[in-house]
Amino acid sequence: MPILETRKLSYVYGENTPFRVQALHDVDLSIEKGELVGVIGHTGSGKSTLMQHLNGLVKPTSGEVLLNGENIHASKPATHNARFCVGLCFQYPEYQLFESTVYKDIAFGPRNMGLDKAQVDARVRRAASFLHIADAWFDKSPFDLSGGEKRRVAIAGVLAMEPEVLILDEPTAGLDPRGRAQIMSLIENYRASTGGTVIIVSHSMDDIAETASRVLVMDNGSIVLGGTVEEVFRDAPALVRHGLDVPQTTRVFLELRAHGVDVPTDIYTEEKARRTVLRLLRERGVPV
Amino acid sequence: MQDVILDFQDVSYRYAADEGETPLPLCVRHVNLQIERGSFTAILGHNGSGKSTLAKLSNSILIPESGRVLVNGMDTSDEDLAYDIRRTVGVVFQNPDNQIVASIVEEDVAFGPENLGVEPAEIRRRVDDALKAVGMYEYRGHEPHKLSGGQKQRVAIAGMIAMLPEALVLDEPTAMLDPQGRKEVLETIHRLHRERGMTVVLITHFMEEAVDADRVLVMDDGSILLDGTPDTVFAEAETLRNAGLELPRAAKLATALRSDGVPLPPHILTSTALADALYQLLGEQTHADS
Amino acid sequence: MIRDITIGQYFPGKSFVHRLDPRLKLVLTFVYIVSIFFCKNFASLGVCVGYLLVAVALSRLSPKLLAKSLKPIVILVLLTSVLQIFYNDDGAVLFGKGWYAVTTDGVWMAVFTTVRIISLVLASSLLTYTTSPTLLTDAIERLFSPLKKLHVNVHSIAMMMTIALRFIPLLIDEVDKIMSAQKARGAQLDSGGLLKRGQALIPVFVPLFVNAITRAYDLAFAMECRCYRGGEGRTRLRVMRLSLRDGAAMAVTVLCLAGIGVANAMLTPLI
Repeated sequence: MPILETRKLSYVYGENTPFRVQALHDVDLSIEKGELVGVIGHTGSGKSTLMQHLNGLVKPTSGEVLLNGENIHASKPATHNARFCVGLCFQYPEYQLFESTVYKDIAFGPRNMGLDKAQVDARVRRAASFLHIADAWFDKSPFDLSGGEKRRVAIAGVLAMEPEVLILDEPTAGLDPRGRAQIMSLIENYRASTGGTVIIVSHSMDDIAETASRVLVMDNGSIVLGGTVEEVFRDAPALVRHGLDVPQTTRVFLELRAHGVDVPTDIYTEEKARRTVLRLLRERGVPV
Repeated sequence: MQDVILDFQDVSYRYAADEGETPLPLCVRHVNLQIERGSFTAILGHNGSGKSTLAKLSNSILIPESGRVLVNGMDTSDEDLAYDIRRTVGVVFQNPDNQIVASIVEEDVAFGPENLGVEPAEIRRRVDDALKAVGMYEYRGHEPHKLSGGQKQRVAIAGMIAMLPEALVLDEPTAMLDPQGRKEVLETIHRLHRERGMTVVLITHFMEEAVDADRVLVMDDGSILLDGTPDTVFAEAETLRNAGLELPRAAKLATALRSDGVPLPPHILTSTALADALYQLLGEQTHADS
Repeated sequence: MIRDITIGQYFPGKSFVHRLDPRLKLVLTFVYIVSIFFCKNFASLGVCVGYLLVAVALSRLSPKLLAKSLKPIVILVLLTSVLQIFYNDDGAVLFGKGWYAVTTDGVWMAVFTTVRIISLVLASSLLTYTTSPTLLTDAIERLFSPLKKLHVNVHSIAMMMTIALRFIPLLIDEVDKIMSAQKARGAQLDSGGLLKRGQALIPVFVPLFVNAITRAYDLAFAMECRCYRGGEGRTRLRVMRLSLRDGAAMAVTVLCLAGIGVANAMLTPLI
């Protein structure tokens, strides 16, 4: 059974007004336990709206969201439970920091869960260690940290609820290369050590290509492409049609193909690109 | 002598600490930098490397602690020249929302010329021209908060263009934008450079954006670490990595392939250049076979 | 939903009313509101109502839209009507007796007051519906510029209004976003008693203020970069000049004012 599933999920806002927008169209989505799923789409494709349905923040116009097989809107406790089981970390999450200390801010989620002090403390420390937040920061004001550090504290705040599914909306937006690499490697470490399920929303194909086990492409409120990373990248021109950039690495092979060279185009990691180029050159007798 | 528009002479700067606290370290350290008129310079560096401070030093928003900054020979520490300096060097910041003042696009673009006391008919001419230059003329009557990030940033650039500056300094103008917006803004900046001969200083941490510049500077810890053409700067992979930066992806792949023994020419920075080089290698062999 | 709040609602158009000089519109609205209070009987009030109806027709706004602006004052209108009915004991008794007797005078007064309040609200709605907030701010700045002599910094006040207009939609979006983010961390923002709810808003207001301060700093820098130095020596993109259209509107208004005066003098006053 998938851990998280949507069935014919639709969402309309501004119903009965001239501004009616159908943000989601019959979305069927299924996330297995332990997966790292990348959701990509251009701005306004509906990806953020979909994510806010998954933790019950937004109620669908029609269709349902199932968490471990149970409809999250079936009862009040189920909705309440979904908030904590599906941890949603918004874009630029550092703008939600508000407490006087880093520790208190990370503890906000667990405290809202009604846990006792010892449990909250254990969770705060576990979440902090996943995001390389040193104990020395605990008594600092979160507003005194740098941009990248704040981002880590904010993600820890969601992680401290120990959700079964962690959703990160554009976790690396606005960070420099060092910050981007750090966040991505911390997320991977978290997953490797806990086996947790993670969904990363992004429009940066380069981020997702290297980490995700499965990719969903959204456009116009629907999932238009889905599958393993190879499968989705095999049809790189389709990605372009849906308003997305393909990774730089993939672009090299797309351009070679435009030159009439018969190369695969489902290449998105440096590793695979190297192997393919070497194979091609050897096939053609270039000494390498 | 070359025609220098922006001249940093041994410039240092530090931000003021809270009262009673120990002084903060220098954020810009003894920077010497001359920007030639009509050139396109990219400044790279990780967050906190001092590159954004450089932008604010360039139009007398900040005054150097030591050394001096000259704009067309005008010293930025001379308060009487502040407005002449600011109409010569336009600065665009990261967050487009925080630099748009008025709630109608054309009124916002008019804000600069209005402050300069330009005649209404001339303001109208400049506003129309600036909006056309960034491709936002059709949106002149729109409300900024209903525009996309890329569109807002182009409005912010138009706001500067309307003051008829000789140089534009852009401080991470694409950091908060999606790929589409980033593309729009970069194309706009390049067009202004190409068609109007605008001097451009583009501060960024996206390596790909520096590839097309005439000159690339790398900042680390308040100093200029590397300075040269994109080819020479991106040849220093190791130095870049130590400064918290990466090579553009295509350049990184080319470097990896070279280490695998693929005889690629030097200076490959873009996916197009890499594809062309590989095609050449593959093609030569195919021709040799036939 | 917090997004439903609209401030200074404006419906763009090219009608006669839309194109009137905003300064004149502001003055006319003011004159209108004052003159309503000078109406002493139904005849003069009729002149006012007629004037308003003509203006509404000229604005080409749907009457439905304007009627919507009356929604928030329904309770006020009902309350004053009831008060008027019971407060007035003169005239023929319709029903009831003693202090709760309903008299003809009472009913007439209730109708009179209701019409007054409705005209007042409609007139101000007509102003904001047909004038963009920016134009309105601009008009206020220009109309009140003589106050500079009294050391009132009219320009700064207008600038603050402009910036407020620009940032209010942004802040509304931001409140929405922060509320969602805190709810995702299990914050209970819409339950519990007043005190609890107040406390629950801390996670929303602290980030909101922190962000607003950052924005203010950024904006100040950006304004400095664009050579802002207060109102001194500043010119404007838009030139406001009175046109024939404005002259016509003024003439009609003067005629109506005369009409009100005549009606007040000739007929018996209701109040």
